[in-house]
Amino acid sequence: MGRYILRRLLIAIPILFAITLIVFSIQLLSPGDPLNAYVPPDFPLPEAQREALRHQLGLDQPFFTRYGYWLKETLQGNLGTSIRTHETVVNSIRNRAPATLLLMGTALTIGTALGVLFGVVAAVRQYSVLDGILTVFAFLGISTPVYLTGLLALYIFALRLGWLPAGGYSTPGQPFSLTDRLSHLILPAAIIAVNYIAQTMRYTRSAMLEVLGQDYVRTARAKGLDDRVVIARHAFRNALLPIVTLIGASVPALIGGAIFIESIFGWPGVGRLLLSGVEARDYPIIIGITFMLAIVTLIANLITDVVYAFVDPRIRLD
Amino acid sequence: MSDRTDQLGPKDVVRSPAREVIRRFMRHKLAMTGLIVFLVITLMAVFAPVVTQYDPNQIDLRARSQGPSLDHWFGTDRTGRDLYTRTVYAGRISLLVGVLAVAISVALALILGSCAGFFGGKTDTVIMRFTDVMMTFPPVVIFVAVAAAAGPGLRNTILVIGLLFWMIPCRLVRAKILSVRETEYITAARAIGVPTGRIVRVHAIPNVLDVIIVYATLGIANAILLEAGLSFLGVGIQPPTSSWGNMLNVARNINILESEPWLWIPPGIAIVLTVLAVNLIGDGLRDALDPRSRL
Repeated sequence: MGRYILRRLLIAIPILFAITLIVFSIQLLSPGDPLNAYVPPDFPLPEAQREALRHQLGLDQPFFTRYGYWLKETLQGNLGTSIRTHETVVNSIRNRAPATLLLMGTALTIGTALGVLFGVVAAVRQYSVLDGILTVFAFLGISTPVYLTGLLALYIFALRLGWLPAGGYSTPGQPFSLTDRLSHLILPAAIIAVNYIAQTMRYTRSAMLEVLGQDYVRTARAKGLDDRVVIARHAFRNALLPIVTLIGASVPALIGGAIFIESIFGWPGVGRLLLSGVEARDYPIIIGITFMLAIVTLIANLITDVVYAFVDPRIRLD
Repeated sequence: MSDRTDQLGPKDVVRSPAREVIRRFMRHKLAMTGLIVFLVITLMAVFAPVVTQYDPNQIDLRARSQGPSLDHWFGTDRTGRDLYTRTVYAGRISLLVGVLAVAISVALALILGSCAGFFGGKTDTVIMRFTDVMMTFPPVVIFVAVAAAAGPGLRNTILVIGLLFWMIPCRLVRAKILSVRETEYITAARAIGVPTGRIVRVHAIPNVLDVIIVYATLGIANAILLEAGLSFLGVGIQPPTSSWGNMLNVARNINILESEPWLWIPPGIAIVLTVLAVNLIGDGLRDALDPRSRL
């Protein structure tokens, strides 16, 4: 087990370096003078001063010199300073990360629980009316983009029915309370979860159906075991194996959903920070966040691999 | 079918594989529904000037912010532009982006995937590691970052989606080529001295077509969703050109979201209908191309 984890970690290192190179190259795509991100081209600044600034920012250096410098700083935990707010990128992300983690953690928990539950029910009652309804829901869930679900939910539950607050992190002017936070959290988290529930459900359903067709399930039933015992102990535990990988593989998509939802619900997380960086062409912010989120995905993949090896000993052998 | 034996009777019809696939697809009710819906949407987009009576960018200040009416079926926006017209014209952009972006990504996937699978060794390692790296970027994040750097607009949106969307089909193509490579007819072709390039084109690529067709169909749905998403965030298609995504963009303003729902609900429905239809077609194609599924 230890050797398996070590090997996975070693593979991740070159990937990490490739990520840094790609992330840093993103700004090369930008047409025109890179100085424009710092000083608008129509800003009245003498050419000499522009040159001085260019030199000071290192923009006159060749690409790989700049990359080397950036990489050195990044490895020491310095992602630069935001052009717009002059706050360090690491601090900006650190301030926004708790909100995003709360949102994604809730969405992942709700999504996994409901998705697996619906999937098992649909598989056990295959071809029933309930299965049909759940399948239709899954298809709609996969075909409806998260930004549209978000707009609809905001319109119906917050603006028309007034059940929940119309976005934000907490009610302004009120001291922190758990119920207040929850009332702001539940709608965006549920929306991010919808798509994920649909996918988890379809995945769980087919995994369960496959296991339910196995000989050992038939044997267990033939022994006269209670149906619930067979489903919970023999079928579900084996169907869980592929579901573990799905949870890890869904992290990137959930991050993507969070960007839209944070924008729609005014949730003060990393996604909104990225979008405000995009609007201001704030490259340190754009690069820093893209890099951080790629690392998160990489770690999620690593954890998935390790957990999978842990629950399924066969993986470790090859 | 139960009375059928191994021998072909006089009434049995022998169909070519392509015809068989078409026949099986036509029997798939959901897929046919999807196809019809998709055709209607496509035809409306193509013949937009025929099915609408306004100019999509024509400003009419006397008819600002009107709800749906007989004159303006979906109402008008804050500059009096007719929203039904804009929704129909937006379909042109959304479908164009979807189809072209997928064409680019599928071409890339075919080239990279078949090189990796057929040549193996170092080529394979380099291409597949690169694919792994590209897949560690959360999709929306990397699209937003790249679109922000490259600048918005129709051409860039197509390029961004097309060039960042090839990883999954590339893996599919490689896996399929790897299994095809071991078959006897490839060995036979090699033995009689057919050049590698020709083996890939004539023997290997046709075998991955079924995988690619299904993926490309589902990919169009995803590309349409991505285009709408990027435009919704303001880094995709730019006004005054209308796309379903940038029509939704106005709903980020909570006043419009609340008081003028006709501004954002029609493009929203258009996205869902199109994507649903394309997904149904894709599912139907997958079933029709899979000889093991009964249809």
